[in-house]
Amino acid sequence: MSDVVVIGADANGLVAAHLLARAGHKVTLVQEHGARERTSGWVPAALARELALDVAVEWPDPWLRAPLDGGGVLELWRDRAKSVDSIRRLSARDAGAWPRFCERMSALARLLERIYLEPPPSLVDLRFALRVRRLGREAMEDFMRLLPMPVAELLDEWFASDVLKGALGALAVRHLHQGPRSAGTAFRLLHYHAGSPSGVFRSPMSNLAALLHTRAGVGMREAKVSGITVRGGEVTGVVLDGGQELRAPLVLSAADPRRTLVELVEPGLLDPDLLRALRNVRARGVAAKIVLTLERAPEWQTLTLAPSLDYVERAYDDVKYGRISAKPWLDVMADGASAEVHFQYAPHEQSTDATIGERAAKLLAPYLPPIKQGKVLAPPAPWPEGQPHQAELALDQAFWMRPLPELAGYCTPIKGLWLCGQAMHPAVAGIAGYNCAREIGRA
Amino acid sequence: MLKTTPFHERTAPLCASHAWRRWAGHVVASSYELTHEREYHVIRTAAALFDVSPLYKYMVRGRDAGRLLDLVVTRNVQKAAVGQVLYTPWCDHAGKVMDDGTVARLNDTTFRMTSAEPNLRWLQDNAAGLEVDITDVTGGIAALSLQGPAAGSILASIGAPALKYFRIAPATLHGIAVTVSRTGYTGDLGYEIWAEAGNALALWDAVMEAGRPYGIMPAGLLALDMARLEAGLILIDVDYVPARKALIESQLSSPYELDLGWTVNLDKERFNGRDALVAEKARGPAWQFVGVEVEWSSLERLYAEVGLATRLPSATWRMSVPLYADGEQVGYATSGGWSPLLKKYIALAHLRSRWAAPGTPLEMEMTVEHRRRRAAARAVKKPFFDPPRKRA
Repeated sequence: MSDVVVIGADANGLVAAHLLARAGHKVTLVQEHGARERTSGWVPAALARELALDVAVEWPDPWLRAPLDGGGVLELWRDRAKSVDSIRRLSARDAGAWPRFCERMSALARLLERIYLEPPPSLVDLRFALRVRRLGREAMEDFMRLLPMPVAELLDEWFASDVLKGALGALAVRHLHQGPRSAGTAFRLLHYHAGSPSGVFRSPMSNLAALLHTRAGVGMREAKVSGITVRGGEVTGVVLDGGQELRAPLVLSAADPRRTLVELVEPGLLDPDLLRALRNVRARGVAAKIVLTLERAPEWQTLTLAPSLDYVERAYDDVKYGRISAKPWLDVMADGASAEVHFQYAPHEQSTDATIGERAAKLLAPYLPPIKQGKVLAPPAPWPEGQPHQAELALDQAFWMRPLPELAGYCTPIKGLWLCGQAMHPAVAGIAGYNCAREIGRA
Repeated sequence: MLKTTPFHERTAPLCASHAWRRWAGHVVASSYELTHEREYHVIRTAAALFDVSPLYKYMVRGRDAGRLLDLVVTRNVQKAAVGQVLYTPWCDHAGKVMDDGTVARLNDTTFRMTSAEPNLRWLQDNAAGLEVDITDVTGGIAALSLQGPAAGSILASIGAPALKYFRIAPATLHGIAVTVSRTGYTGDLGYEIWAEAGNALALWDAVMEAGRPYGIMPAGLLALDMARLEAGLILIDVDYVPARKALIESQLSSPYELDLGWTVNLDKERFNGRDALVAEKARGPAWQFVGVEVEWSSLERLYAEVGLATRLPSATWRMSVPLYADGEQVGYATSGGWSPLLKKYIALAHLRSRWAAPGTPLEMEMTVEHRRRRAAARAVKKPFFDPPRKRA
């Protein structure tokens, strides 16, 4: 018999399971879906150290390539000087602003990193206030001012070049049902910047989940969970499809909180007001994924097609009214002769629509080697409504409000039942599991 | 826009007083005559007909209908027999009363719930994961309440079956399909008749016609309020603040604090507020909801001191009136008035548990000729009026 059952074998479930196993628990991890090979997101050194993992984290370099109207490409590199050179071809003023912009954003991202590696700060938390103060006057003002700002306005303050602003603005609203002119999107730019080197506003890919998947120490079960059992207000285990019960006094769920608390927990145990609030958590998928097979490998790793903030905002206008963007912004990652296209925006119900592949192919044709084959993929099963963050990462669903103020501390009203998925602070794969496991250790 | 009830075509010409009152978004008569006195007396001596259509009504159907209602209300719904009606409050997760009403079991999987406040959303919230269909039938079902010693005979004369207290059955009254329940809000022998809104006028005519030899009268809410005070029945928004409307903690009430402990079935494994109610039962509620009787001699003296004959309220008052004992305020009355039948000045009151035992001497604040005075009173058992015919 295990004393811990973890639901969901994504990075969060795996990290939590292995941390608890290292702390001496006997852990069973129920893998509900096939393993994903790569994990997107920052892997903090502390997490890798505690799990004794040798994680390979990579960013494409240049991490952003955006084609220019009259030919040529804007390239942003990890090497700041190379980025400045590339930007100078568009605007000398923007090139001059880039290093300062990177430093200012980087100071804020470092603060986010510290906030991310702990349970969400409470509004009245003195330590949190001190940390913000310690940033110094300029950074403190930046932080307070920037979080609720639309990313478009932040970028307009710093830069003139449409291509630069369009691409940065697009990456900031990745997987968000908002456009760059929506309030709170500047925070998203910082979110994807956290854990990345200064000047890199894109999350890395890693082999975090893949490494943990093959590691011993945790019992793995491949099954679907059909229920979580509760006696007298305390969790007693999970029931698998087919009826088998895994008994455990501690259950962690990396599945989305709505599924965990509304579907898996029997009706009548939780406050109906809490369940209503959960049903109102926004989790709308807005992106489609297309896998292309190319006739030959392109000479680059990444390509972002979001030529201006207006372009991205117009793409968003479509999805606001339930339509697939006529002109979506696209982000391509190439791996040899195969390429993965992130297509935004497409409402979740239409995310496998036949026209998506055609629209993407047409827009990409001038920049890609000829396409042999293209396939639109359905979003992975653990993403509720196609939303990888499980709860949209908007400012009102972040920090101490993620996914709801009542649930932000990873624990639930049911004793022994914890939440450790992407819907939890900080919505970075692996770190929610890390924070949750550490909270359990403290409880 | 205020709505009228399905009986409005009949009640409007009868409403000589033009005294209409709002009830759940509808207009209903406060009194039909210029004063409500005869309407009150007819409840206790013959039969009074009330239009209670504004009550919120929900049909709850399906495999899990009983299960849902058991999660919501404090009484045990699944144990109720088909044809049984339960009076019950329901609580939020913290065990504080949100509303009170009735649940009628029409068959194994069909229930009708009545309430004072809208509850569709609350029922739906609680139904997550259950196989149940909830329909708001407030507008579709017209409801009459026939209350008084002659009520049984009147209904029997047009085809109603004999019913025990708090039972319900389908019936055909004068050719109109209805359900009849032996329920009411007067503490007297009484029935409520539920019919399709389209049959409302024919039903009204049939009952009024059958009641004529018995002295039936239509009666309004002022008379009803006096009868329910005598019966010791609580009124939402008057005697308690429903949890959803409470602005501060101290405005909330648990069922135990409203003398509804008898409705709380802790044997049920789960229902909203159970954990909190278990704890409250163990430590004992801080407040009790009791009857208060003002001493006539004390009242008479207060008026005599200013040279007046004793003045009595002609209708039930609804305000918070302080109650004192041992020199400090120990509670407050929320409804009160003169009972013409009992010849007593009575009130319903919240008292701190220590002073709530029947017989405890109290003082009730009275404004006599613009001056605040205190009249001697004492805590008494409810109901003030409880005739055997109510249950017989």
